[in-house]
Amino acid sequence: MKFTALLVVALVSGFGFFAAARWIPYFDRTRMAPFDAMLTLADVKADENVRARLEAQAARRHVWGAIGTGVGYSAGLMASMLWDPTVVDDDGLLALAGFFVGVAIGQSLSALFPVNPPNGPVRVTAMQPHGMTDYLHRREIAVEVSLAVLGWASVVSGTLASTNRVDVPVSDATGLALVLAGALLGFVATTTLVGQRWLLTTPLRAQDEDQLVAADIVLALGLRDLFGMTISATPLAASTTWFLPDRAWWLPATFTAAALVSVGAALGVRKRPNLAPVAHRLSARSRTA
Amino acid sequence: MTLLVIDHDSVVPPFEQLRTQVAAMIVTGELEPGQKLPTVRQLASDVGLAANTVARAYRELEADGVISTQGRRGTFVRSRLFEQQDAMSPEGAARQAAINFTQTARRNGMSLAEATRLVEAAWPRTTS
Repeated sequence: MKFTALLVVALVSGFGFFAAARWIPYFDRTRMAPFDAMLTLADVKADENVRARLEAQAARRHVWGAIGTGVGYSAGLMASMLWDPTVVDDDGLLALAGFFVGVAIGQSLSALFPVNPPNGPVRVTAMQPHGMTDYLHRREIAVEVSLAVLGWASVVSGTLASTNRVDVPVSDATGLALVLAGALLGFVATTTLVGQRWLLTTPLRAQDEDQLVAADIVLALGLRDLFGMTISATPLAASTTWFLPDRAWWLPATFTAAALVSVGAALGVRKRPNLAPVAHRLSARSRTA
Repeated sequence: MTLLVIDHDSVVPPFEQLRTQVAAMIVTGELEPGQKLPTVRQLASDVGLAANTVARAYRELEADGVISTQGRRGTFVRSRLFEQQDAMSPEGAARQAAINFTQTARRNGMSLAEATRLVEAAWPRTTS
């Protein structure tokens, strides 16, 4: 009975978040903003055909993001309510984390399903490899990997300390905090790396130049969505360690330092062509032609 | 930047479309020396071809000496600097002559065995 009530509360509030993200006019009006930002950062001039494709994709991304928001919030809220309430202190941090993870995964998944996929006999390519280092800066990859390692190392050391398997001077509260914050960070960073790899191994299919430019921008934005997910999860993981009582001082210090480094990496994104290499090169050619 | 276009309805076989266009992109400088090319699997999925078809085109381009596969590092457009340095060495000169001979033999529809027989027949007639 209690579980059913929790499930109903989680589903209703999740639907509320979905409805807000889907139907509040502001979110619909600003759905092209991330695409415009990507075009500016990657130094790409999009003509009308490319913009039309991107606007169609923005509508799809908006819907997927709203679905992700609802599902993520429901799952996070359910998890936080099933967990010992004294641990999460009813702050709903897991629900908030679910919100951020859900919206990012939903938006990035929309990149896997482009609007109007090519259907003719002709395919075009720019002979451009699309591996991790072709679209992401090495520093960003290093941040993602480091956060995943920090997360899972925290889970392992917290588990060992909590179960008294090793003789370490770590209190039970610190061990629990290590597991909680580490699991959140490790899960999100690993999901980011796996999701980015998945996006990059997906074919960049196009039957003309405009479609190729649009596909490249969509791919680049999907990768940035996932990167942003890790960045937003790091301060959340850090704040989890702040609220837990009786934990060692170095724990929030470590996670806060990680949060500052990751946010710094996100703010350090500057205008650079290899954010969307194919679109940038094609756009540069059309400007000089 | 020129796009590589594969027409699945064309009478020209896909591997030949791929081979000639990549070679043209290298000659015109669209693909620069040392530039990394997509993996066989990636290129095949991007343009909707079988991996074997792309692998065959890459093999022929490598045989023509315009690209080189460097194990797990990937496939690269051959560097002109490397070609110049290579051509100045005795082995490099012989390699270049072999590439020219192979291209001529291929253009005339000869098989590897027939081309090899020609080399074997010519070998005793020449002096070092």
